[in-house]
Amino acid sequence: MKEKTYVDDIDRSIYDIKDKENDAYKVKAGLTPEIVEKISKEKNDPAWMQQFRLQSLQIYNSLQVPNWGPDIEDLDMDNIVTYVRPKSKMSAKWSEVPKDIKDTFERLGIPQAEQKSLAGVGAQYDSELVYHNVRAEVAAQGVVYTDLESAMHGEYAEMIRTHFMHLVKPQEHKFAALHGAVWSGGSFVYVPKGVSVTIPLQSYFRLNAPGAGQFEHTLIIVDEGAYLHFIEGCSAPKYNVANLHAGCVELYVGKNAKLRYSTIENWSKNMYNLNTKRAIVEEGGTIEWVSGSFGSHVSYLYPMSILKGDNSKMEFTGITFAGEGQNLDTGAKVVHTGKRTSSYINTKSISKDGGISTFRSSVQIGKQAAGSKASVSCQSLMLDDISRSDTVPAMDIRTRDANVGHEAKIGRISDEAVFYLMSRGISEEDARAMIVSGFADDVSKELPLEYAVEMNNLIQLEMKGSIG
Amino acid sequence: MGQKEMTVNILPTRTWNRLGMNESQIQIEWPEKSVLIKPEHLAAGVTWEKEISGKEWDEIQTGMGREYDAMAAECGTAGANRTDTVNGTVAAEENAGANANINAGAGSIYRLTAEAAAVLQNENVSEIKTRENTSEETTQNTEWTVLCVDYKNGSYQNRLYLDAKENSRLNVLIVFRSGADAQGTSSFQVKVHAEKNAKVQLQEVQLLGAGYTCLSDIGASCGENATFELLKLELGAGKVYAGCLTELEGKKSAFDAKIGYYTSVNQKLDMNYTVRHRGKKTESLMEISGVLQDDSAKLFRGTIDFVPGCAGAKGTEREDVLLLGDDIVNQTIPLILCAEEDVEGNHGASMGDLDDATLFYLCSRGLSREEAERMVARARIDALNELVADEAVQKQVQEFMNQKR
Repeated sequence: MKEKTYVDDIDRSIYDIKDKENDAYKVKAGLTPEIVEKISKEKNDPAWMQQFRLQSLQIYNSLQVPNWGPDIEDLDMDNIVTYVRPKSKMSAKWSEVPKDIKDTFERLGIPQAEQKSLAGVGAQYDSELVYHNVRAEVAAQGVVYTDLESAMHGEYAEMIRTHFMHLVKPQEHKFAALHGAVWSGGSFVYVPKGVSVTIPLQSYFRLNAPGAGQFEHTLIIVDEGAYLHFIEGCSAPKYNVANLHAGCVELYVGKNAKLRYSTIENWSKNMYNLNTKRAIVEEGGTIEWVSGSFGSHVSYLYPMSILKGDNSKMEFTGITFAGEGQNLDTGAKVVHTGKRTSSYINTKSISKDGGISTFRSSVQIGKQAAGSKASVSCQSLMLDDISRSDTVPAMDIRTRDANVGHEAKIGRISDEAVFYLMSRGISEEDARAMIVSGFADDVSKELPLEYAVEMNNLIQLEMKGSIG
Repeated sequence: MGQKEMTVNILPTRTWNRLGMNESQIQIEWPEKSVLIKPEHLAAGVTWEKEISGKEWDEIQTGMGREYDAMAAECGTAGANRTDTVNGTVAAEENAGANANINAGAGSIYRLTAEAAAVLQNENVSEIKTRENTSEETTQNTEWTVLCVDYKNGSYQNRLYLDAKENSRLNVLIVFRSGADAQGTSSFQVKVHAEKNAKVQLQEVQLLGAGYTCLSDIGASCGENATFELLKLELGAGKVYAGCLTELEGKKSAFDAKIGYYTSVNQKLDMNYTVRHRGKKTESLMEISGVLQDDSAKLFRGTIDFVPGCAGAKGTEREDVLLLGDDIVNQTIPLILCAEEDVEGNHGASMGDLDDATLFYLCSRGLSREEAERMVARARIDALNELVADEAVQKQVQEFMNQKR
């Protein structure tokens, strides 16, 4: 067999720096009504939220862990601390953030990115936001970008109450219920009618405490005719104990509005990433997902879109990189209920060093969704025979007036493609390197330049011969 | 044995439970009788014997799953102890006929309509063996052995073992028929063992009445350079549960499946086709083409599984579904499972109504929309019907389709 292409591991050096634990408050490990009540009291929840949390806990206790997907037997909630408050109140100035925390975010490039290319930033450290700011000119447009807890008590309280976990209900699955019980942190974004936020907003989540969980909630409402690009990033240092991320993202895209939601997930390899994301799109609206999954020990991640309004659209572009010790189960779901709706899912995955990558999708077209179209494309690259790559796409169509196409491919670099490039004077090594680099290109080109660079830095390619 | 509940057609790897595609729970009246199958003409080099299921049978797993396999075995064992329905004279005649080696020209269809005598429950495994070829050259046997399974009414179970020895060719066509108003359950299990360089072609044409529930189970194991080709036409029965599991054990073994279906009012079709690549440089191709009309429902599970060690393997799966009903339910879940680096796996699926260009062309030639749809839909089945080995069976398919809406 020919020498194989060597794909270097992701360089985690800046992500693995641990800050000394210096918490202001931390609940005990485990999950009990008393712990949920303490969290609620810490966060000064309104009465309805406290009740919601306790009901969610009951639902959590009544549901089973999924009997499909990666094994999460080693995740023991009795050993997870669900709330860790850092010694820092939320500020709109980096100078007011404690030095060690600020240094962490500076190493990650967040303040720099904010200066150069962002309209606003929310930075969460363990269970609370430590920094939140939005450019004055963006705020002047009526755009609201604030932490969710503040929004619950302010003029948007009723909007929060009527939207919070209405799209992703606690009954959905066990970890949605867990989120409902112990959520903390996260952002609320509201973009008024017709407003276009031309520069992205970003939230960054950093989980520093070992054995802790992060349960941020992101709620975004893009009103009629508006536009927003929202970016989220995350990381954590690696520990020998399990960490848990069970966040929730709820996106409401109004009539003729457009929302692009980009994520670069780079959790450490002790993290259980059990995240739930869902968007509902009204008439003529568009949701675009851009997703790069590089971290976590185990991931369950399937952003879901409900194309409720006629002529609404969804586009999902994603890449997953599963290395040693990782079992990343990712994909997308879409439900077409409106007429003439369309969806396009395009994903790539790479597995190496025993990593397991599973692409899992679901396309459902309802009886009333006449004239709808859906297309799913999935390509997988396996770089050795100790890794694994599975494709599990499902389609459920209940109208004759629909057009659905699906394709999946797994394999090695095409010899014909290599031959073509070599016939143009490129060496075989360079040709193979070029093709493998292009494999991730679909995702990186959808991101703003700085994030594309970061994503490309996460995948370093070193060629020695050819794949296969 | 009465009413039985079982789980069949299990997806090799589970997914979201709410999709309802991981497996199927069925409840049926389990057959207690077998149909007497007695081909009057066997292809050259083919012999017909009956023997009780043994180790060779048990080693081959099938697509519908272990519960069905175990149930079928239990029925066979239970039948072995039954004596109350034995008609001595009939049994003797059938034993004599069934045990005789028959060599004759192939190609004709023989109708077998007698209800199975109890004696067959003692021996309800029929094995069609090939004569060992002493020549070094591969047997070029293009003749077909045709079995007609005719149900008058009622529920029946049969099990068939196709054993292709090294370098041999074995071609078997099975037609399932019943009266239009007949009711019952057809449970038919075929296990295929293809030794080195052997080629097995199995064609199953299902033309059962709407009152029938059809359980069709296939399992195959292929040795080095062996090939298993399967053609299946699912055109009748109210409910069909069909499974096929092919293990490509030997190097360069291959599996080729062409599956066609055409459903109409109230029909339900539930399928589970898996090919497991174990040997190096194995190849598989599964092509599924079908039409869904009215309120019919179809669930197709297709899996290409590359197991460690199958370097150089290639697997392809293609499904094309024409949706013509206003209340159809079309579910598809094509899996690729891969634990080997040096493979090529592809699957593609296309689902939808008749495309506008084709529709316009046909309507511009004076056809109504309905006529155009029926023509295109029918053409899908006709294309597969042309591959059916026997002209008489092809005509039966055409007649059956002419009566179908």
